[in-house]
Amino acid sequence: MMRKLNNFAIIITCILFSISSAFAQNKTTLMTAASWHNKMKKLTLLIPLIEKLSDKQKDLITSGFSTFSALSVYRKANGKKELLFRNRCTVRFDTWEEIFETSLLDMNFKTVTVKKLNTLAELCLTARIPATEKISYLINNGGIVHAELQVKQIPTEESDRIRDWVIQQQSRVMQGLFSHMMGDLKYSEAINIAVQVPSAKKKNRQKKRNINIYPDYQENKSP
Amino acid sequence: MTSVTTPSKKKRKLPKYIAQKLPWHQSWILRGTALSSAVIICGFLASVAMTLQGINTITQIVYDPEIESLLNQHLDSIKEIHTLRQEILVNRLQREIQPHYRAQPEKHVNPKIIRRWLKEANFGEIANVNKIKMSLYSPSPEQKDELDMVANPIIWVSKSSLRIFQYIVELPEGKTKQSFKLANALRQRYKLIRKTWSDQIRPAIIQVNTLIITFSLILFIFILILIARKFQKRIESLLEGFSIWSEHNTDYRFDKKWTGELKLITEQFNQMANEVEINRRRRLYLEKVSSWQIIARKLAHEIKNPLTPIQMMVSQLVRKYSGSDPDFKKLLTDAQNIILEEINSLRKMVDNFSQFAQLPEINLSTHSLEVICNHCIELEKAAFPQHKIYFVDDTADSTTLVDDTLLKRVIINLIKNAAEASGNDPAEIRIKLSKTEKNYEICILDKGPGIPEDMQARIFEAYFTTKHTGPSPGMGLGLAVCQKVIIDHGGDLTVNSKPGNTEFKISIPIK
Repeated sequence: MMRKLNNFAIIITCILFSISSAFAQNKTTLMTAASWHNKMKKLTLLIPLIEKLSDKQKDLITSGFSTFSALSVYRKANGKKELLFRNRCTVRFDTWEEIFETSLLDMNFKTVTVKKLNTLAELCLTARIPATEKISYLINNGGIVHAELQVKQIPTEESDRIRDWVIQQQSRVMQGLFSHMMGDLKYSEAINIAVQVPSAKKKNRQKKRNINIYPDYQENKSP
Repeated sequence: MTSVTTPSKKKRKLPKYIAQKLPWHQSWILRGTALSSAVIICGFLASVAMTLQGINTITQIVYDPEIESLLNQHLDSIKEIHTLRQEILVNRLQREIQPHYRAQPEKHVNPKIIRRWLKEANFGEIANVNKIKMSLYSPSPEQKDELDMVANPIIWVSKSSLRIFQYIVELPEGKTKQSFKLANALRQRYKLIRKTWSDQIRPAIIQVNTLIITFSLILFIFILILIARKFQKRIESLLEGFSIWSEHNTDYRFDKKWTGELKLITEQFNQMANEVEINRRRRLYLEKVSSWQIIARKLAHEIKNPLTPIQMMVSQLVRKYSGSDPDFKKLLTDAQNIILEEINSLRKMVDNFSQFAQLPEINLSTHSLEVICNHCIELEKAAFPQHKIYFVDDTADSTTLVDDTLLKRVIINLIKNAAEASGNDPAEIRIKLSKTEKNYEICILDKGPGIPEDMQARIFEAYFTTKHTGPSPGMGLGLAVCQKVIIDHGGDLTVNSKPGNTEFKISIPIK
């Protein structure tokens, strides 16, 4: 009879033990179009993603928290992902000065200061892929590539302080367990975008477009 | 003719748990455990429900967009106030600079002059002018608009940096910026919590509470099962002991590991079992004695009857011989003597049998055991003057209900046995009277050769004797009579014998 009681207790506790919904990143898949540009006889594929930035990502960038953005462009071939382009930045919006302090990780960690979100988007949220062998197949016939734009918060002193404050609101018994289960208390958003690439023939090619890439920014001389 | 057979009805098989009735203690344990588990589970569910309700209530506060809107408005108003203030200060500064920069070219502007202008423009309201940092301005090639210092001698490079001609003036952080920082920190906290409430904080709260409640539930149920198991084990052990005793081993007794009420039950059971055993042995012995007495009565009757005719015929035979043969006459006389001697011996045996068969019923009356013992000792001292027979009394009062005649007979018999066992050499024989909680004990101790161990269990049997030779060979009835008399008193007669130390103990209940 004792064995039956034991089994009963085990079954009941297993049923009663519930697991809440896990933290999940929201991902949405969108569509956009790319364009070819020819400057000084150098063909470049331009994929601007400023318009595809979600409200949550905009809010994250302008929140004042340090954020990390990663723009990846890849193509799917034989079930694998082939990386064509990558652009990574860290951004912190100074809410008082109203400027974006940006570090371009793929350009030798160059730090710049920009005043406008559009300028920041030009720096960090736009893919400029030179016409190399990797994308040679797109030049004549065009095709579809995929872009993934992830913006996530980097825990800093402010967010660590907020996290500690949330933990302190719990009872002492629960603080340790709660801290472990809550994680870093950061939020992020990633979007997947399918990019329609036209053929780089004459009628689809935009010849003259001012792509003076870095307008209106100030390079930070001191790190 | 075919026989019609009706199809047999299928017998339903009851589930085992219904068919087998649980023992009473198991069913009560099961009920108690089930009830406790139900209470704990209901408490668990109620706790989880209350936690969720609390979280849902907090969620409404966390998700209030008005709070964030108010914070944003507050921050905007701080900036607005700061901007207005800046404009006021810059206007004042321009009024101060205007009469001077026309007269002096910008190359003659130096930090000292700038500090004077700042003082005159009341920049001391926001900072200590003497501690304001200044550095030369070096613009990037792209910042063309800012090179025109004549058109724009004063420009805010940032919210805390002012370009005055070719110098950058860094204004220290004022109270406005500090209050902005505080409000901004509050907004950031609110925003971060709001953004991560559904994904991280709320699930973590639910998980942690559920985890703690679940583990508490597991712990409580585990402890409950342990207690129920322990309780059941003890009950089963108890029942098993009862079963062993009643079915095949009347010597079974519970050991002393029990505690609480069960200890009381086991002690009382042990006591009852001891009493049952004693009564059983007494009953068996009395039955034996009764059968011995029947045999003795019959033997006495059968043997006694022919003795007299035999004696008479022998005497007549001798008397009637009138012959002159002296040898034959001597033979007749010798034979007569032998026959008469054996007849006397048989008569003694018959008398012993008769005494044993006709033991009187005990007649209880109040007597002092000390007086009885002293009387017996005096008699035996006279019978065995070579031995030292002494009395030790450890009681203050030894009055109880006994049959003094029969008890004296027992004590005299035991002292006599001790004296005979000690031989002709002087020996000590001690008679000790003591008292326990329930009994008076009379111990007769001698230092004779002792009784062999294999014979100790039989010495109280009728017709068993170790005195086959000697001046007074025994019939083997003395100790049997003693045992019966003591049993009739409700007591017990025991022996503990080793070479050099033999003790007979009489236990008589206190009445």
